[in-house]
Amino acid sequence: MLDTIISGLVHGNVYALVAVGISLIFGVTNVVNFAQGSIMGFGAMLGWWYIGVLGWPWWLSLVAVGVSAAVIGWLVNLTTVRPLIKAPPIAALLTTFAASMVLDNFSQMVFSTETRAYPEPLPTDNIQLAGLSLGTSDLVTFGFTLVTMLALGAYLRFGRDGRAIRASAADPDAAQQMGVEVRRVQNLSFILASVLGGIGGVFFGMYSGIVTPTSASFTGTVGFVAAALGGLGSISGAVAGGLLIGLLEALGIYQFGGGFRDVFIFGLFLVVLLVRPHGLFGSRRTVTTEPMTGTFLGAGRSIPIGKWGWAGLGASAIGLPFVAGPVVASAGSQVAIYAIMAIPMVLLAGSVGQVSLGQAAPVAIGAYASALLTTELDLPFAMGLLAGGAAAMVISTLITLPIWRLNGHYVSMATMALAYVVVGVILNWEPVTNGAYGIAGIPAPQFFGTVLITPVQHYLLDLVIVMLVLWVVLRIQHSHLGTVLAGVGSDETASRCLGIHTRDYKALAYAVCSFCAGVAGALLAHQYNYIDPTVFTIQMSILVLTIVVLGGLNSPFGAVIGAVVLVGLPEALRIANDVRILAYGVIMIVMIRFRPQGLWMRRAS
Amino acid sequence: MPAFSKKLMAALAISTLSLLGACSATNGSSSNSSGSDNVRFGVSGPITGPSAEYGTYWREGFDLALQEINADGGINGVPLELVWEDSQSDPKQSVPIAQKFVADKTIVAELGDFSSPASMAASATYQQAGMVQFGFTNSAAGFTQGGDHMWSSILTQAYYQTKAAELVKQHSDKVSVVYLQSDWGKSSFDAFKQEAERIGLDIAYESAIQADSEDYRPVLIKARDAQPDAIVHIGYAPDGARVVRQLRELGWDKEFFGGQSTPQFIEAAGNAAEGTIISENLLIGNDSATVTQLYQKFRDAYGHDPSVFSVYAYDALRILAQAAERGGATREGVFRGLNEGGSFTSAQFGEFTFGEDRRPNNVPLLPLVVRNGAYEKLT
Repeated sequence: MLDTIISGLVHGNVYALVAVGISLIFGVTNVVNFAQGSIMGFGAMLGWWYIGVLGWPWWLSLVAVGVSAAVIGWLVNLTTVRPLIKAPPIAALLTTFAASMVLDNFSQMVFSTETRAYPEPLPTDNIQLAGLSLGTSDLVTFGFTLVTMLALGAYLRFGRDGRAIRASAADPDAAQQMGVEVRRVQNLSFILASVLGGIGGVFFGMYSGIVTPTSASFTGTVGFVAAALGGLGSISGAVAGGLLIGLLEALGIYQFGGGFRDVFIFGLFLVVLLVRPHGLFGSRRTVTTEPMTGTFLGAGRSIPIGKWGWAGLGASAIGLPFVAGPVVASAGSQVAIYAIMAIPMVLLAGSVGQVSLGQAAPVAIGAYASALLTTELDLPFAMGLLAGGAAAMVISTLITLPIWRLNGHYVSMATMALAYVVVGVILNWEPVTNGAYGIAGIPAPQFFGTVLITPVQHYLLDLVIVMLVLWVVLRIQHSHLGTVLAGVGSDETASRCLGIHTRDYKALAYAVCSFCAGVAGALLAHQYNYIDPTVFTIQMSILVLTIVVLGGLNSPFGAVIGAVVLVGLPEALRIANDVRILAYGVIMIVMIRFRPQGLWMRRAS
Repeated sequence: MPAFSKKLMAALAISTLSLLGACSATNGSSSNSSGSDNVRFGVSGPITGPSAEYGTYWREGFDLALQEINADGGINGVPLELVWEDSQSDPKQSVPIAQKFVADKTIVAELGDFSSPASMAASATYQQAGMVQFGFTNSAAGFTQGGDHMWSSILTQAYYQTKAAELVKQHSDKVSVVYLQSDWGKSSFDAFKQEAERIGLDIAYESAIQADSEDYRPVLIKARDAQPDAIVHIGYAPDGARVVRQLRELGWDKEFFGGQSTPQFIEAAGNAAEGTIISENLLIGNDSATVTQLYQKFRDAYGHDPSVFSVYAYDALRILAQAAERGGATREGVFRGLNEGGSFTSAQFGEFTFGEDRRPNNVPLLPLVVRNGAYEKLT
């Protein structure tokens, strides 16, 4: 048992290193920096290059990695965060995600995709402890975390710049008026966090012994969870959160087996969020009450489309596959399915101002429900489709019900955790879901005996559902309910004073999103004929959110445009296979940079 | 919005649209006329994304096979050409790729995709179009059950793992097993377990592991504490290297079966790999002329030994070319060539025939052991 505990703490220490950087940046800029995990991965590869290939001594390599990471952090802030500082926080959240995509792909191009042994500048197995081989490297890593935590703590408390960082965190406007150069301070905190991340990457490499350019990505994700668990903005909380997750992960896996890893990490996180939303060590004040999507319609107004406009759009969408052929129709049905997931998000992210980073959860539930009902119980397709939507709605809404008291980043993290938990349960609940095998032979969509098998037929079916969802969401937006939802998003306190049960309205908006996501999942299942848990990734969740942000948070039609751009663009970039995902990331950053209010929106002013 | 950003936005919109336009233009041209009279096969596989590593291996194998085939006069005198599309091994992308290939009348067969969801989601499209989908990493039994146009040069895990369990039994009576929690790992483990029960090999501890974990120690501590004679890992090279390293750190000095026969496994696992036994191998210790020559060609061309994935790709292309040569360089021809039976030549299996399940029939395996940082035939 002792060996399990020690190995858990050593592993948790690596999580703690990522978490510190994330917490630091969040504390200052209120931005969750998705690129932190990638900076760590890049740092690990740079370390491999300096130590392993160039043969530099480890201390020099650490300095070199630190300097390189500082430059990267500075660039990330300059290109993705700083320009959006006045935009709703969600814009910066997504651009940092795009930056992480760019960094990962760049790293794969520079260092190639091979799996490599990490050089061992310090002995990794010279200390025997409780039947476990530890090394000087583990001690140095642990020491580094401790020193970082204490030094950073002292710096923030007593240092001149450190106090400026805290002042900017507390109130950027007031700090600016008191003569603090907020921009410089933000830059500084990004550079600090990146240096920590980069050097942390080298320790990550030494710990894991084996690296690829993307091998730090899961550790990066858990780093967020650790930061939030400890309380965003709290440095010592981040360290404690990291160690705690490492420990509980190890004990959970020891007891129940490695297949339950995600259920454990993210399930624990979800429970903590429900019980103690500001984290174990965070102060209640850091729970931001500002919705992540801005207030008072700051995001602008949707560009109106007249009756004839809708008719024209509808007609050309229907006509498209007959002119452009099955290749476009097949890409078009992917676009349509993502549009079905994204359109209702205008009610959640736009109206009530809550961000779900876990739409893959209801998509997965819908896909599995429909696949199982049609294959096991021979239910007709239409019933499966509706049941998929209903199951997704009921299950996800019930689980998330308590989190709608919360706001801001905590909602997005809780929904992200839900997505991991749902996929984890699907993986492990073998008797029902068939586990990792997935479900094969799911029947193609079918109505009254007519089987839809060609891409054009699929496209038309998806298009009809897109139109239905558009119509319903537009009706809700313009109804009394829509006004109430927008009220909850614009000023929650005022709404509550008027007697509105804000939590229930947020949950209602989420329920509508989940229903549509479930229907979209069912469509995916029946059009692919095969699903397994690897289809429903965090990337899927982020894509759905990005679509609605890019299109315009208040614009259902914007979500369609967003889907066309974000799902269609990788297809359009096929002319350059090697760099297409990199280019996709860059284009995403540029689009959000220059139209943070969305493609299909007018600025309010 | 300031005027300059409006202009920028317009420029961006125009460039995006022209990109889209350029793309549909290339689509158009490729589906109407090929521009050349080459025989064309489509390849749908991961060039970017988390599985990009395997795409790189594929390319090495394909390039070499392609050079050889064309140097020998192509397909009945017509040069062979590959059309690559990057799917990131993602079903969202492999399905449109399938549509694209099917719509392009000059493409007569398809190779790939890498993972099960990406491959099987696209199967229906190829089946309907009567185009052969040739999977060469698809050991999931379900793949060739997708239709009579789904063929594979990979043995099923049931086949490999039955042999693996028999091999393990020769060395030990009681084992702990860790396996990847994927359709591949799960089906492998189920086959292993079934055979283990049949031949009386006791499984003292079993656990799934995740491919993207850094730390397998909690599972391995428990595997070790079950006091088996050997520990078995069913997975790929990167996780296998981590497992064996961490296992040795936990003081495990008895036998380890697992990892994968790729150079990266030995490189990544380092000293910890010593003594590792790998059952699923068709190449090393195979001193047939084809294999020896293939290794030499790889060293000449790339400066290293081939990854097993490169050999899969190499063989897949050669087999498909043979089918096209026999049946004719059309979609029906490739299918006929495979379906008519007869034997095919490959590096891995030598001469072989396809069985009922459209996979190679009954071929011998060569177990390996790692000694002095290299693979050797297990004796």
